[in-house]
Amino acid sequence: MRNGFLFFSVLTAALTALAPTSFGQTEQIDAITKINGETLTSDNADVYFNAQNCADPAATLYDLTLTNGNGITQAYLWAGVQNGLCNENAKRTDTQELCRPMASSTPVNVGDNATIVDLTLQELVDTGIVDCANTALEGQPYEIYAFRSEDPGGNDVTTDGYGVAKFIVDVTPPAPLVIESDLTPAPGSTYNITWATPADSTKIAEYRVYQGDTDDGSAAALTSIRASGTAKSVTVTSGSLNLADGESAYVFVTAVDFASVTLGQGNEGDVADATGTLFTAVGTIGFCDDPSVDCSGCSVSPMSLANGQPASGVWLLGLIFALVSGWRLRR
Amino acid sequence: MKRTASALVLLALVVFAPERARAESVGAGSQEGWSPEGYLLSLGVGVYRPDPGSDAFDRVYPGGNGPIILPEFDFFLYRIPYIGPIGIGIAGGWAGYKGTACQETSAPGTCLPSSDQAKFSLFPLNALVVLRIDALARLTAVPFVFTGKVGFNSVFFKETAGVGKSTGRSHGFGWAAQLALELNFINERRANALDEDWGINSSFLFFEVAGSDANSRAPVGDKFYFTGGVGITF
Repeated sequence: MRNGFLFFSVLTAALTALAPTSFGQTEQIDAITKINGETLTSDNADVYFNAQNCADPAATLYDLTLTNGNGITQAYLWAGVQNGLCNENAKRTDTQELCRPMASSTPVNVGDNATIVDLTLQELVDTGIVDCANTALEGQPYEIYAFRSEDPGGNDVTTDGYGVAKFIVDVTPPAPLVIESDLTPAPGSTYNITWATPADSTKIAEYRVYQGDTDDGSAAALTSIRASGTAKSVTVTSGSLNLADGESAYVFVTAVDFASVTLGQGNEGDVADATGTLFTAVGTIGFCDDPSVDCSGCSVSPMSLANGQPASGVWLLGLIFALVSGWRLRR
Repeated sequence: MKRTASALVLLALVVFAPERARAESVGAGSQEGWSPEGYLLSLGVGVYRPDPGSDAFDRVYPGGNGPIILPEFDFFLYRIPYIGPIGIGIAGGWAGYKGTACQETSAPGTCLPSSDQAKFSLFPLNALVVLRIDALARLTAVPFVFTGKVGFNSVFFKETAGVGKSTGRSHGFGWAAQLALELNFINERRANALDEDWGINSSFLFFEVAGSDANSRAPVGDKFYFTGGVGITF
């Protein structure tokens, strides 16, 4: 017991003594805090540049905020691949193009709130590190190294001398959905369109519904119908599609990925012609609506009769039950 | 007026009849050492299918037999010597069905299937007079108990067919006949311990056939259905 206590005490002391050293080895996490005027929040799990940004990288501006940056007036910026370790001189000078200095790294001024404003995506592209033309389906991760105050030169920089901001470039839209439900369902007033889990299912922000008069997806118009990124189906109704009885419409569903600051403005998959569901609106009836069934008791409230009077029988039974229960409990 | 009179008579019967029963303890079981047996709780699962007298239900819900889940609580007011306790009970449960709504343009008596799903839910609420004939189990070694029930069935229903919804309530006469197998014989010592510790006199398995004429406002009664399950008396 005594030995156990001694061991525990030594272990605790060792951990306490080593903790600052261990924590000190963690690199500082910088962040891209604004893209084209849109502020990133804690809702943004990742920072993306999407196809729209890459279409005009020179006009895509972003702000970079440095952690523990108070008092720092200048920074030297480098672009690196994921886990590029650009703080090491060997990685900055090797021939594999793991790290390259950005044009503004001459150095760049750090403004208020330790933020470097109006950097352009073009600078990142110009390093040759960031590929804004081709990315994987779920995007390609990169890093920006911000060396504080001093040019890294030929040195290995310690953790308190730099920070890393991670971002993803994703210009590839989700693939067209594989619709699993019938593309020519029976007429009805509602229809549930289902699809197979997309290859990049964990990176889908939402699904959008388009409506067209023909099976030409490019001519279809966006509706207000949405489904969340985790959905596998969406229900359309004659009302939501503004279809009168007997009218038909082709319904298309597209996926939108997370590659945006504002949810739902990421890369969007094509409205593929082959995925259109021909929905025809007609009124439908159930058992209660069958003309041969006398369902005159149907009412808006199950506790009321058709004419709106309270169901006195039910309440009377409840009263009897309460009376007898009370009587028995008293005994 | 007639309804009010009937309700008052029923109320009087329920409230005053037990006064006469005080001479004999309501729950006194014939077995020595038993705690008073005044209540019954059971849970049954079975099949229930509204029977409108045509294939109207089958057209939308083909093969829909529920299931129905029906808990019941009885309290006994008087023990009829050599027969068993008589009391009143209340049972409330749920049954659900899924099908395909028909197109409105379907010809009478037919159903053109639509793209709409249809869901039908029933919430039966039964108030019953219960006669539990347990003399065989109490006075002999045969562990069977027979129960007869008659009463008032009220069925709340809700149907969703596409964008349309219907709700309502229907009521009517209901009956049931139950055969139960008391399980005390399996281990009498433990059964007695259960009574001593928890006041549970007996547990049982049952099979019940029943009928409901809850068709007053919508044909949601089933002339003949059955449930099976477990229960306890305490």
